[in-house]
Amino acid sequence: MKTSKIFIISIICVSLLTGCWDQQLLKDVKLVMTAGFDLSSDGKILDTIIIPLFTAGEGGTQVTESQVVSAKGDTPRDARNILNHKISEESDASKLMVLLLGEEYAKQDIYPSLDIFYRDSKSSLVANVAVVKGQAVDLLNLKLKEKKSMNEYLSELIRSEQIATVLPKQTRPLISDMFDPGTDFVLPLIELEENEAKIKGLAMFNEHKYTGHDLTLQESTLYLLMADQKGKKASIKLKVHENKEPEIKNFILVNVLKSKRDLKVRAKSPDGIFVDLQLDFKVEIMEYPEDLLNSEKKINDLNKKLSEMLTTEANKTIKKMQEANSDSLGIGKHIIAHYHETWQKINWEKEYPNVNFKAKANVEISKHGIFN
Amino acid sequence: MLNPYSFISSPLGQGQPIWLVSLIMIAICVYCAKEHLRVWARFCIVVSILLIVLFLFITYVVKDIIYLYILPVGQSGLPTILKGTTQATTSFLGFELLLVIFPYCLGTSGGKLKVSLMANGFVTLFYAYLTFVSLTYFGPPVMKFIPEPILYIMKFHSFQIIERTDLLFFSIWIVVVATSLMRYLYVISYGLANLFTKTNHSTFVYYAASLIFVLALFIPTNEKVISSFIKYQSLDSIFFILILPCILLLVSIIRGTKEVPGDVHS
Repeated sequence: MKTSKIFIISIICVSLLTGCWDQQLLKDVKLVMTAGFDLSSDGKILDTIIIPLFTAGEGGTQVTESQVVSAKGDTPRDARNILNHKISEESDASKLMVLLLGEEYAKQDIYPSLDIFYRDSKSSLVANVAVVKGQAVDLLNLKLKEKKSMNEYLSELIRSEQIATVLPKQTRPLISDMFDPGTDFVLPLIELEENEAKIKGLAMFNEHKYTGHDLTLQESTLYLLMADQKGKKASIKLKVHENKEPEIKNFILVNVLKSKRDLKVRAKSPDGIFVDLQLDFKVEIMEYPEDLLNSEKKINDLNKKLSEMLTTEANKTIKKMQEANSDSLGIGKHIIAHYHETWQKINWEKEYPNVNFKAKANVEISKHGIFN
Repeated sequence: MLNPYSFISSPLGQGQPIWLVSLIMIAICVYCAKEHLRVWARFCIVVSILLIVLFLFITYVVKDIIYLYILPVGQSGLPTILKGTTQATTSFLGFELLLVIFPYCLGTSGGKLKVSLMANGFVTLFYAYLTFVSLTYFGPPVMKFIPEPILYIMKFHSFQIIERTDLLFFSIWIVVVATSLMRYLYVISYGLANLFTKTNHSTFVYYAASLIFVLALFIPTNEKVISSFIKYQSLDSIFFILILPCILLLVSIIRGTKEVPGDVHS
């Protein structure tokens, strides 16, 4: 009697353990891993998605091909619905890895296109958003030379550039910087170059809109160092000499080993906002054909020269950000926190280009490889 | 910050029939609540280990927070802060339970006071920590768009082996929610047993649970109803955790008699 009771109970329990009530099987959906939004000529949204096609090979399931589909709609969600009519199964963006925004589209408010990702509980919060110089659809239609799917290629590209301190790491959802009045954000800028996608630098945003101004690769690295977001390495190229022969001998390439940033914001009154930015770099020389780095004097001279040059470069980068009216360093945040009264009196949009920035770099060569 | 109702809008709750979810939940709670109070206490101790897991998950994002967001402190003024505290009382629901179960517990009054103060202090600190992290992670302007910031943080972070941390977080946290349903079942059944002068509370657990189940089926689960529930809940929680104890204290002062601890349980 007792055994049969236990038996019946365990049968009932086992039947309850069969799994989920509402499954979403991978075989019923088309996983969208890369998507792009463009503004079409008639003002509608052009949504392009890449669906990797999985095939079973010797080494397990592999992505050998992908399917690129585009559709036009009034809103991103509308375009996605129209896309669903074109593909065999329901599209599912819950594993989206890269979202590309066309240049023209990004010049509008970009928040509406992100809304669907933030609102849908299933969706993953997109980690990599990038701006494409030109049209996103052209880049997504690219035939890659590398045997890789587009999403892998793009996300690896972005990741390797993050390690090299060219692109910022997205540690918090983009939405936090977007709605913060005291800061603006930057996004990776990708350009289509013949048969490759190339990182061009950073696209500077003001509030929710792309300003059309960009930072070059070197400026991006400097910006990230100024924003205290150094990756594993950070390479900087400087022209230290003017008239050496051949031309190649004029340059020096250094890798920043350690960077210390000291940001001081003073905003006692609305008419005088001062920002002091002190940067201390410990660098390693990667390439310097001039050689003869064994004398202390030579190193000291180079230290001084590099400090001067980086100071000018840093100030130039800041000027560029001010011209674009993109407070990517988050100076406004400091004013909100420490000088709240000043903040309430000023219109930060108007005030930011007039802020007195003073950046100063101090370079110290601590390594020069295994060669003098 | 985190409320049990968010289950309905979560990816776990979506598409699941509400009757099944509530049936499973209530069945588990009945299973525990029909036993002696000691069983529930032990279960709570086991569950409290999960708090460590939650703490570790949250602490993982501390490296990404921006401390500047909490400054300037107190810019909105004292009235706004006081108004905010009434909404926060929902998180402190459950302490009114002490009024019901302490007579059944052994121990000196001093010991009981110490236990309740420690429990209260822990909850306060834990919630303050959660609030601090989510506020400095998202920043004040975004906070009003995000109903459940902790779940949202978890959604953004994925680890090498855990892709959707929010789902795992939710599965852990739903167990914590179960303990509070058990707590109410206890309180109801002990109250009913006392009312009908029965010594065994177990049968009343079934009545209460069936009533809860029927109510869960018939009450619509749209946001409007839920938010009005939360509103009334925070109002009545003020009554239960602030006004009622004060009245009881006054009564005991006026009557001047001292209850002997643990006498109900004899």
